Amino acid sequence: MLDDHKQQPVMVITGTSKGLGYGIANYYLFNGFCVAGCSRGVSAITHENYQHAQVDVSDERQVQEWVRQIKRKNGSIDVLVCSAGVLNSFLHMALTPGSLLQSFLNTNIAGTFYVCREVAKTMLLKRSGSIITISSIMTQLHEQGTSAYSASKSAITEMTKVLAKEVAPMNINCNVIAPSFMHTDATDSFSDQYSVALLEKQTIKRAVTIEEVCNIISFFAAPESRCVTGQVIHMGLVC
Amino acid sequence: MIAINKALKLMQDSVNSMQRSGMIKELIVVSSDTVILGKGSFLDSLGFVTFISDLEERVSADTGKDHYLILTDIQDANSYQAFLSAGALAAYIEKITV
Repeated sequence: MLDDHKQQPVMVITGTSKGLGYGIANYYLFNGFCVAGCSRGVSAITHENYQHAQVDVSDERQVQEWVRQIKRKNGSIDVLVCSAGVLNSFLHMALTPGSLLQSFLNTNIAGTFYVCREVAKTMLLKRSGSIITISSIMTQLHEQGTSAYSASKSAITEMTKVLAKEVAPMNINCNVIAPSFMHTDATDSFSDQYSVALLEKQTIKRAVTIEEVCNIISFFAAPESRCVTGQVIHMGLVC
Repeated sequence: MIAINKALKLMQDSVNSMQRSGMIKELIVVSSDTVILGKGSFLDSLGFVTFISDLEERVSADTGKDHYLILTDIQDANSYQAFLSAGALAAYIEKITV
């Protein structure tokens, strides 16, 4: 257990309505966690230990109120997984409108920033916790059409490393998982040809599973991993 | 509303709590002139963040409403020169809890 004085560790996950966040939430609910999740819409998760809130993570005040609500209900937060993000375009930079760029900046960067900030504050007072953010293999591939997306994911890595330094004295670790290709709602819209081409660029030429991502989350969140901080694990690997 | 004296009392409670947890070694008596941030402060950077986070919760608990301490909104606080006194912070708390 992450925290001996509680029966159930509390994990906060963003973006739980679908994709990676949905999969992570279900995995940890099945493994005895109490999960507080959020998304812009309603949730399909009906587990008794799941608490859902409709939150736009790019809205600072909504995030503040949500995290306060979680703390009031659960007392503290043990693990944060920031998986909310958008992947809604593969337009080349020359064709990317400002509004699209802004949507990546708002959700992927500002959203992760606000949630990390508010949860870190509660962890600082508890002097314990684990924060995990989600980057992407795209930051290593430099793939055409991902300038806005990859830039936002690189920013997440950098902000996580800075936060790791800031909160390290308080027994809080902050790490990044950069998954390679996964089967999610977002990637299922890729053409077969594009998916195959992406996999060919990876060292491990298959899609990563939710269970494999959760294996790394469990490693980072384990009390024995408190000295592991500011690290990035690239799944699938690109050399 | 949290009046200035009450806000200073909440700050003292935060400081006492941090002292009990070992984050602050010396005995600090908070007054309006106490430097919270900047030259002469008894807090290091992490201590300052912890202090503000703790105080934010105390202010919310006291009023029964969610309140957020936004440093850039504090009159007399200058994030570039990094200086904040307990008095300025107390005045800000009084203002946001009206």
